[in-house]
Amino acid sequence: MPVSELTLRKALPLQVLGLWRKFVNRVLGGLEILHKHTILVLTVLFGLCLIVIYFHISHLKTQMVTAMAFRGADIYIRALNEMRTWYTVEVVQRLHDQGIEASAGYRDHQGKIPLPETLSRNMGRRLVGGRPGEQLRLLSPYPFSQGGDSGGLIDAFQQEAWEFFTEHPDEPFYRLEQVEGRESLRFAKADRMQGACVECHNGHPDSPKRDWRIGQVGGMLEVVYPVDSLETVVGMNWQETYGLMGMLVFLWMGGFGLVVLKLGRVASELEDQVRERTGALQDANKHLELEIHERQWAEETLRQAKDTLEKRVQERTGKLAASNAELIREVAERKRAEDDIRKLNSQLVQRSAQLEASNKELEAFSYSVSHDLRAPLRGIDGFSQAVLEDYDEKLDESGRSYLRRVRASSQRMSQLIDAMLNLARLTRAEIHTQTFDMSAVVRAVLDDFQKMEPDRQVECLVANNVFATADPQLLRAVLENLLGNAWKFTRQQAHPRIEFGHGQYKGQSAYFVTDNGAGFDMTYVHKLFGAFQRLHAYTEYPGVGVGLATVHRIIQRHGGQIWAEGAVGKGATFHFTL
Amino acid sequence: MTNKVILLVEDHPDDEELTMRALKKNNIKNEVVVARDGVEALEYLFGTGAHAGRDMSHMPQIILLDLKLPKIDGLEVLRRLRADDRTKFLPVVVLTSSKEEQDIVKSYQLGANSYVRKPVDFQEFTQAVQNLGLYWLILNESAPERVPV
Repeated sequence: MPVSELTLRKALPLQVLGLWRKFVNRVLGGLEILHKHTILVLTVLFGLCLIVIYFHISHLKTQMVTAMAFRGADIYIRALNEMRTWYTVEVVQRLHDQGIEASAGYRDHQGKIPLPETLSRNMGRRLVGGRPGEQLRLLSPYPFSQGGDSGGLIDAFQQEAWEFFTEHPDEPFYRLEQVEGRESLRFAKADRMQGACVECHNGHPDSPKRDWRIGQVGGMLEVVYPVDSLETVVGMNWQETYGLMGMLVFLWMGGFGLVVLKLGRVASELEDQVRERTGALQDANKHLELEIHERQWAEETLRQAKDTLEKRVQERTGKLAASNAELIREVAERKRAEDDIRKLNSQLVQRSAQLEASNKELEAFSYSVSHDLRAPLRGIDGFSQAVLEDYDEKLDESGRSYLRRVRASSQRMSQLIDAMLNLARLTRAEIHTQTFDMSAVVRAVLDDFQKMEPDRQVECLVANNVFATADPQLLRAVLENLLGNAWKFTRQQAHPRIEFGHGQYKGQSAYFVTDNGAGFDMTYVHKLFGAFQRLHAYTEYPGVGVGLATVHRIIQRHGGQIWAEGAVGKGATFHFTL
Repeated sequence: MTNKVILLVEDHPDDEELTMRALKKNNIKNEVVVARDGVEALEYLFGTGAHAGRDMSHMPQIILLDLKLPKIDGLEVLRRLRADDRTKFLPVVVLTSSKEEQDIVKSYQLGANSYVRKPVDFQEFTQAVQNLGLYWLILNESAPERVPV
């Protein structure tokens, strides 16, 4: 099959479909216009109705006028016929019997009466006399009697009517025509020969035709009746009708206008409302759009947040799992550590108990030492003295010297015991801290030293308002020891100087006691704070060697530190913190 | 002065000897009653035991009381004699080796009139005994013998 045919086959229904669519669209368009311009359409329809009514009324008017004319003409003709018949029978025949004849030339002859025909024509003329346009005449293609008007059918109407009457002698022939410039009804009726007529016509000497038969159409009566005059009469009424109609139309238009106005106002109100509503709706719409936009944004944000969260949750879960494992391990470790701690704790409790016991023992020991160790010494010293006193003459100088050394040793032993007991007491003593003026304490201690040795000249530099928060009694012991050392070790100095103050050392604030005395060798600084450690000969600087140990213990018990700097012959400085 | 008795409560013979020597060296000739433990000291003071039937109108002018004693220690002796009307105003000088804070505080709490630590140096000891004798036997006015109850 060729391609073009295929295309054609396919194209044809498509074309039809297109046309159908066009048609449907037009109809729909029309309907739409109708729907859109209801008032216009209604007005047009109303106008159309008016036109139809107008034409109908016009038609009715014409019919009425025609009918009236018809009827008038008919009455005219019947009246004329009746009158002629009556005249022929009652007048002409009676007078004929008395020898009085009817004649066309009755005016010129005595004892003659007019012919019925003449009567008809004259009566016709008279009847329409004074009415312009109206005519009533008797016509015939046959010749009239002598002296009568020349007959004959003079126009088309009359000839057609004559032909019509040969066929339909009992029916009228009529039509509307312009006659002398006026719309007129031309109405004609056949004039048939009656018995009286035939008799006379066939026998009358003036008769031009003598073969008449009864019923034969001898002529016709025609009435010309102008209808415009009728129309004028009827028209008066029609004008009223039209006026009424016009008024009705006007009223209707007014009413309609009012309705339209009202409707228009309602419509405009409705439109306003609609506009308002539309505005509100648009606003709402915008709002909704905005909301939708926001929602979308929020959803997007939420989605992103969710994603992020999920990611984080995953990460966290991973981390948590890791940290969980870590925790489990830690818990195990902790448990182990706790076990260790518990063990250590129980050990500690044990140690604590032991320590307490040993402390008590130490206390008992101290007490015992305090009482019992000194008693023998007193015996040694006392009885040595007794020997020296009571047996002086029995002893040589050497013996006396030995006994004196026995006494000195016992006294030194006593000092040692006292120092040891003091150290032990400080180790146990409770600490009662308070804030106090260290400067004042330093001055008091130095004053005591000065009173004990009023002859010594020592330059004492004491910083003012150096305060400390510590146990005042223990701190006094510290200061007594440090200042006592300074006092002691500057003994051989030409210009001894002792200084006390407070300052920053290696990032921490510390108190210091410094002197320009004998000093010490830094090589042995680690021995400085040990109990019973001495860096100088007893003979040079007497002492038992527990002073700095005591100081160290007190500073330790306050949670502080103490350190020393010095050089042989260049003095010593002790720094301490609390 | 001889009728004024010194009650020396001392368990150690060396200390007893040295105290007696110090008294003698200071020419204190008062009768010295020595109790060698707390029980003996209380028996003497209340006229019981070994001292039953003692003239209770005679009470010591001064009691030199050591703290560390066999059987009943010095602080307990002090507590009991302060608890008794017959002995509660007797001057008591605690004379002991220790200068332990607890000893000093307890002694005064229980009503000791004085606390003296025995010095190791005998010369110092003699000096201390002299001072005690001067103060308690001569300067100090004792409470009446019979205390109204």
